Amino acid sequence: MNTRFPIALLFLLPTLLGLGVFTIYPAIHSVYLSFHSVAPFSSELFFSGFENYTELFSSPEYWQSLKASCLFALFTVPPGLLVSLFIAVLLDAQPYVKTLLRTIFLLPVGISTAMAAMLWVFLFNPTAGYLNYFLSTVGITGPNWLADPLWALPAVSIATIWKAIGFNVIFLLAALTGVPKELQEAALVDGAGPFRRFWNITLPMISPTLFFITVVSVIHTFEGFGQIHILTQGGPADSTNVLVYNLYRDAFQNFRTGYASAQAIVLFVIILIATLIQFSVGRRRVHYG
Amino acid sequence: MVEPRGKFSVFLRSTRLWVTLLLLLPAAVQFFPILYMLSISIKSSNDVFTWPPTLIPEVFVWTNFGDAMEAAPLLRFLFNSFIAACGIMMVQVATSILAAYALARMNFPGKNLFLWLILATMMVPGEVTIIPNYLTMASLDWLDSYQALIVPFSASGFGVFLLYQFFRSIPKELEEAAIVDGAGRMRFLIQILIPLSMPAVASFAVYSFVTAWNQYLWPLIVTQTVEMRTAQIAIGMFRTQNESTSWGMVMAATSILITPSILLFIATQRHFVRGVTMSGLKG
Repeated sequence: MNTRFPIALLFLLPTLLGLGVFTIYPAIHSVYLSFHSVAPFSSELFFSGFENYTELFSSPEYWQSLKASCLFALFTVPPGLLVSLFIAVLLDAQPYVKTLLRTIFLLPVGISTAMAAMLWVFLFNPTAGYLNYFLSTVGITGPNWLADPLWALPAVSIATIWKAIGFNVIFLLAALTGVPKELQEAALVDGAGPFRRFWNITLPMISPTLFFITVVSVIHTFEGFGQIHILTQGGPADSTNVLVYNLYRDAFQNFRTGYASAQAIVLFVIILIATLIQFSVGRRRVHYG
Repeated sequence: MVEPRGKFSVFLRSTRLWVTLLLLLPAAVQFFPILYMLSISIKSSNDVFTWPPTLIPEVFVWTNFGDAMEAAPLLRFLFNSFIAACGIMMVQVATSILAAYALARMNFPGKNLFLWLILATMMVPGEVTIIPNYLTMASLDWLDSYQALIVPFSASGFGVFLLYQFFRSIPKELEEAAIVDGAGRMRFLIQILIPLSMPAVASFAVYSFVTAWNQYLWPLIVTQTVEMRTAQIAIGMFRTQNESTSWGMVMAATSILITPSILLFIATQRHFVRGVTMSGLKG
């Protein structure tokens, strides 16, 4: 049905206005700001070329922040994926108290990262928390989690994994339901054991989903902020000062708008690369069973 | 003849039972933080620090809840979150339906360009827009207001994409018949298309509400006074102010502020899960 242009535009207008003013313009404005600096003792912006970027990449603090984000992804994504896969495979196979068990595992998806972090604060308490108590029952003296530069980031990762399990399990369950039963049965008839069937049939069939979850989880960890603001505030010794936390500090505590905008653009590029990898690899490998 | 013993041993040997038993440990671990929160929320300050830790309090200190409500306006925080999340959800649903309808059902020059532009905005992470949007809010003098919490999220590329997909799956003949019957475009949209698309609209509405409810960084920077804080950012500040006095009170406040999320999840689990699965499409 052909429609005259103005009517369609009227329907599109609210969305175009909303996205234009609060997504497209700011994205472009961020680029603009990243090439500008504020003169000391004034609020005037002046063009400073690539100065913010060169300062960024020569700053040990920024490299530490980049390293913290990479480690955060490393501590969070692979373990989270393995635990979720274990849980999803069992959930898929078991017939009893299905709804209750699923609800328990999926519940954290509805809880914000900040609230999830609040649930973990006291579990990490070194002298009265349950985590170190459980460790002590097997003869391990637990660290002072959130105050130890070595253990603060793993602690943040544990709280993040707790929440991410729900998200991962949703996608894995959907993928596992898509694995054709006939394939499993055929393998069973051929005498393949459960591990072999998992390795040779289930795993290849759900590999696109595993890949998808990996990329999305990496993006989520690179955008992580709430749990860090609650648990460690970037410390101790900047060990949890991930990219977004560093950006927040420079933008809203140090008021270095241009410098923080340059960080936003670098973060954008990192996330964009991850998204494009997901699109190109995902397209080629997705099975829609 | 029925042989209960035989049946029972078959039941025990079935792998399905073992699979369930194997799940109980991770389920307990997964549920433990919530249980622990509830436990601490009714403990006295001394009881919190006993070693070895206990789940069941020595004395049940129900007053922690009252004390928490007195220490900070917790209901006001929930109210703020509710206004912001509801506002965002309603505006996003409305704007997305309109745009998706135009893109799915009308032909006009530049349609693909608009579609592409709207989809492209899904790739822009919130952290990139936060500084200019903060500057915009400041220049409009909107800091510390409900507008600042709602207006920047009045459109959703994901919402348009989702509903566009769904609207396209509904047969065109239906609209042609309705128009022949004399129904206008708006009437067709409201009386036929939206009711038919309820599953997609509901999933998006739940997704939009929960995402808005759970926001952290944006409310943190645009709210300034205690009265405007949302539940998510209020809890961290509540903790810093009160953890030295009473952990019981801090966890009581956490329990109060987390309850709506848990109830909402349980009530809308099906829509919620569908919304999350579909959000996967946006990568």
